[in-house]
Amino acid sequence: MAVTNSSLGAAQVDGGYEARLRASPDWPVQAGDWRARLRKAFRAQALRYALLGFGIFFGLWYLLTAVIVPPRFNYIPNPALLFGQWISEVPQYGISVFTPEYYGHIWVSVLRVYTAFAISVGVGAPLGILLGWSRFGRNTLFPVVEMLRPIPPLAWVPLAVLALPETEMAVIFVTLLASFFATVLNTYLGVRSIPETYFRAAACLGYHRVDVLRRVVIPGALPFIFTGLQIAMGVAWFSLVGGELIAGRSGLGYLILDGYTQLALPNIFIGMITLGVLGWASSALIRKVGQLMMAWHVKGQGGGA
Amino acid sequence: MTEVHTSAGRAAERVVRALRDPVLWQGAIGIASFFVVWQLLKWIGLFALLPGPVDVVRAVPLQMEQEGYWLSWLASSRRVFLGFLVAAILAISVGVSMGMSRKLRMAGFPILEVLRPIPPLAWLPLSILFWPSPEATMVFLTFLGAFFPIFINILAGIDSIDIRYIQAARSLGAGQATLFWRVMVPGALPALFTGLSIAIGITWEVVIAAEMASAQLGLGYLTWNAYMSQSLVGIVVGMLSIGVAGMVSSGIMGWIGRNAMPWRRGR
Repeated sequence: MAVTNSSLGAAQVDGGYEARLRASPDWPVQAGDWRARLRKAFRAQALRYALLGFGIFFGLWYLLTAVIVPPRFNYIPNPALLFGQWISEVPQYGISVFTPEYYGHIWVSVLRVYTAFAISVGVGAPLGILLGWSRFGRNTLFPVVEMLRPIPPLAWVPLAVLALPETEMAVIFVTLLASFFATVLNTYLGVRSIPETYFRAAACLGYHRVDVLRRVVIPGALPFIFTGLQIAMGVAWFSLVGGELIAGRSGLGYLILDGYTQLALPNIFIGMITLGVLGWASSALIRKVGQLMMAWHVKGQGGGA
Repeated sequence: MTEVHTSAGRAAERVVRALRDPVLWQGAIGIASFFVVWQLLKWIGLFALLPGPVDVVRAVPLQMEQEGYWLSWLASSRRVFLGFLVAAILAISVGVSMGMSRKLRMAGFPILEVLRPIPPLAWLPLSILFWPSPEATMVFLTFLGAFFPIFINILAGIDSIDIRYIQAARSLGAGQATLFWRVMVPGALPALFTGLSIAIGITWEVVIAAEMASAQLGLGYLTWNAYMSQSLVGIVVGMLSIGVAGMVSSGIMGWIGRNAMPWRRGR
């Protein structure tokens, strides 16, 4: 066989070709063959470049904070120290994956965001439907919404702290404001995006108002509503941090501030990264729920289509 | 003479028509009832702490004469403008390079995606430590707030350009420069302006919070100062000023967008 292969160039090329084909990322992997899958994933160009990018990022970070430390870079903990503290059983600054305080802060922040989110969706979505559906409601209420919307949520902090009996309520109020407006606006746009003919068809078929709401308005507006919910979740985390920084006594925003006042530098980073992960996970959750609820809405069409 | 007359007549006609429009007076009813309810709540005694609309209106001129009011406008606007400008320049260059080079995108995009979900305000304590002056801290935060929406939107804009436009331009003999200016730029411009108008809103939000934490001047500081001296009227006036500032900036952004994309004006 070996003789034939070496003497016949064509056969060799053929074998090489097949090997190359098998190696190409387009070659199908058999279901359940996780080793082939893993191998394929590692061979993918995108992953290699991503790893390269992360390598450069962490390399630079380590270089600038541990090897040559330019002035002021001493305020940034090097990645080895940071992640070491994060998974240490006896952390120097009292926060790591083994301390209950860490989970306490996470729990408080998550609870605040989801309470605020639930309230803003519970009130905002019906209001948005009203604005989109009723002409009189739109004409009278929309200017009021548009008047209040430009005031950034964080500008409400002092007023909320003074006017609401508890700081906790003030933080939740500030957190829900931005997501409330995002929900109202997107729901409104969603209802407005429903073609007029659908309403006429429903009227011809003798739908009652309730049926129109249930069968036309809500499904029609759903893609926009979910776009709005994703935005709402993002801005809720954003405002939560502001509220906790300025007025909080607990939560991840407070953890960051506390890390600042006590110069517990790793805690600042732990708080920031945890916030990033939680915010990302919340958005992913909403996207997932949206996909489940809108099976008919082709993926890739997007909320704005 | 007659021309002036007719144009004046037409303007009057337009005003009359606008006044007759139910949208206008229903909107007026809405806003008026908002203030009436507010004042009523005040009289009933709910939210007794809040100033009523009458108190606020009375306080506006007084607050505006206050020392440093207009300087606060200037200081906040400068921070917003600087952070926004740096963010726009960087985000556009990074976005365009990643939109045009696949390798750069594969290497750089995942990192930015990891950094993106961290709320800009979470960077505040670190930036106070890191940057030498509070001014730099605030500009850096506004930069962070504005960078990601601009970046994401311009990338999406470049992705949304129909590949056939690029192929058509290529087969008509367009070089890299022509391709960039005649296809990429007009194709990505609508998405870019979406990103810019989101970003300008976020910069105001970030700058307010940053000023509350670490400024000596600015609209956020003004509001915070009113809070510290328990002047609720001052807080409300500060909030209104911030709202107006945000609205004006969005208006300017929209105006620039309309003028930069005359072909979209009809829509």
